[in-house]
Amino acid sequence: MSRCSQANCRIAETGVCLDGHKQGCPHLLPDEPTAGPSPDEAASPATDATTAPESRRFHTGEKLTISEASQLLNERPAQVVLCVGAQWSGKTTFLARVGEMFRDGSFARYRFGGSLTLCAFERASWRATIASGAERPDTPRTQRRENDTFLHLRVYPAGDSAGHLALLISDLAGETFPTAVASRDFCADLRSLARVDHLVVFLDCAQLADQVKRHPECDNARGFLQQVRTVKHQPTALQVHVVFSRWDYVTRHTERAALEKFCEATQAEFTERFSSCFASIEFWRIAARPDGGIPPTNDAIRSLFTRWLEIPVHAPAPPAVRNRHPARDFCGFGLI
Amino acid sequence: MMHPNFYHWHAHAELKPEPASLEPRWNAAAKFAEKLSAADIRSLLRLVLFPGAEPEFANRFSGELVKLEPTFPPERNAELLRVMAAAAVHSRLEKSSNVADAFALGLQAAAFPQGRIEPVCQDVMTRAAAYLAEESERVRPEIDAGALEKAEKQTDAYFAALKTAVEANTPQEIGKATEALARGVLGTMKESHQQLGKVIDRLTEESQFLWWIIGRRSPSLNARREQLTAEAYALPAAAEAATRVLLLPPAASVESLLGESLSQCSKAGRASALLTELIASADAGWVQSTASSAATPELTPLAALLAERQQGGKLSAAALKKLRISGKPKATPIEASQQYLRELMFVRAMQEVT
Repeated sequence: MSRCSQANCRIAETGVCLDGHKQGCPHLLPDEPTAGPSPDEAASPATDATTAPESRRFHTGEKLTISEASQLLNERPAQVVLCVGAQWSGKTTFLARVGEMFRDGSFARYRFGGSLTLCAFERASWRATIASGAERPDTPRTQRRENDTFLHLRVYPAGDSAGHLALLISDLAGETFPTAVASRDFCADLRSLARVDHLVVFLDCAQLADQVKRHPECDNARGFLQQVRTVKHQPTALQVHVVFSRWDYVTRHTERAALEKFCEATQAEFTERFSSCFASIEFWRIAARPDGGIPPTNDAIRSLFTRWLEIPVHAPAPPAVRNRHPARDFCGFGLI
Repeated sequence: MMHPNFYHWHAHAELKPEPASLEPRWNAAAKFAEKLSAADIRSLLRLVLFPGAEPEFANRFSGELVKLEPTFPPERNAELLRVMAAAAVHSRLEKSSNVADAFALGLQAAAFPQGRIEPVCQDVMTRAAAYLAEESERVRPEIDAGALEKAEKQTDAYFAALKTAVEANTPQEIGKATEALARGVLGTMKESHQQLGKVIDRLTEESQFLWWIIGRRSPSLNARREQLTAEAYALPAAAEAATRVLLLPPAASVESLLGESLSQCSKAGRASALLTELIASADAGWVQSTASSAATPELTPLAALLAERQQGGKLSAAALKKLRISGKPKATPIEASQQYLRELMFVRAMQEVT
């Protein structure tokens, strides 16, 4: 792993240069001869020293295509996360924030173990950095062609460097969300939806704050979850997270109490409607990059991220099947 | 025949499975599963249930699959191999056999405590449960009252043939008909003996359990059940029940019988206790005398913990972690008893395979 002579640079932990150099940073120190394994090696299962070196794949650092993500899934278990929601609901900003929080060491329970898509993370965060020269923090919109592409993140629990956990995160371009709500075929073709372990549905609080726009916003989320129910194989294994995104709109709103009440009512209605359809449905109030000097909801982001990494809830083993009309009384003992 | 959900199983490890490759892959997995050793059965089960398990077996399995289906990726395929292992296991669960018994009982035995196993697909677990239900009934059928009638009809046909041959006075035909009659009678006798043997096995199993229950006594602890607590008796009761199972897979009612036997204890424990406490409360003498059966600890977690206690080991968090048991799982005495019975049945099924 590269080390930097600048005290503030965290390239050794995050792989990201403080000055934004992709390569050839003048502050980099030469590797120590006894340096530990590279992140890629560290991420690989322990191999026998006598085994021949494996061939390496090279990645652009951009989001992984279906084929690249498949190669990863072929090789080792990973949790697949899909973020969906209307345009500007804060999906990419949320993901960029996750990347930023890893960089500033906000995740105490997990350590960064590598990523094949650092450039994509960097791209999502770039317009929120001072170096970008942007007037205010911003996030580039996810393009339609980026559907079914994946950010990759490898982490390991603090104190257990052998226990690598991989995440593949896809976000559906907001402009295609209405199509997804309306079209069963579109949903059925989404490979990320077919494989997803954690589905994150974003409800934009800026829309919920508007008496007129709040209903289509909720209807779309409902409609999408209905589509998921019909197209997803074994939806009861899927964990659904509903994010009230841009929560700062609620906290700054003049009618904050009424808005919070609306969100609670929405939460109750979604729970009642969908809790039996999916493995779980949880609700989060998140402001990833709030305006007006309000601090981001880092705790909620951390908790949601941690939930993605927890061992997936597998359906309980099917109970012993009993024949209601056994041939012999002996086999029928205990039947109620 | 390929499982209709095999595409979805595949999607676990491949975002866009190639439909044309599925049938050949299923067939390759099924072909591999045709000849399995006991070690292969254990390895396939571990591969289906635990990510990252069995790297050596996985290499061999991968090699065999590539030979049978050349488009199968030869390397970096650990998760895909788990899918193929599920296909291999499922293909064997389609027909009854000792191997199928071992697979079904192994999948059932490993699924404890809840959330410990991570099956690569749920269908294989469902199939195992259905197989056990069907098969335990199939090996314990009602006595076939029509068997004798069928044998009589068959013999009548042979007699008629002999009679015709005698009337025709053809020595060659008479010889053939006589031989057919003799073979027919012998065959009927053999079938009758086999059927009778199975009936006796069934009745023996039933009466064994009947006396075990109405005896209200634990033979292995040499004590009346009312003098025992459910916690202390839970595991010995499972071992006692296991010795009374004559036909595999066991009838589903055996687990209810275990509940009945534990209800005869002084404190009919229904409350959950820590798994480690339940293991620790088993009678020390019985623990020492019981045969260790933790050949594959991950598939038989309770047996493995018992073996640990036998060797004087402490049931620490590390011991639990080794078995992939996280946290401090709890179970009622009945649940622990039923689980230990399942493990013992799996061990027996593995012995029958070897």
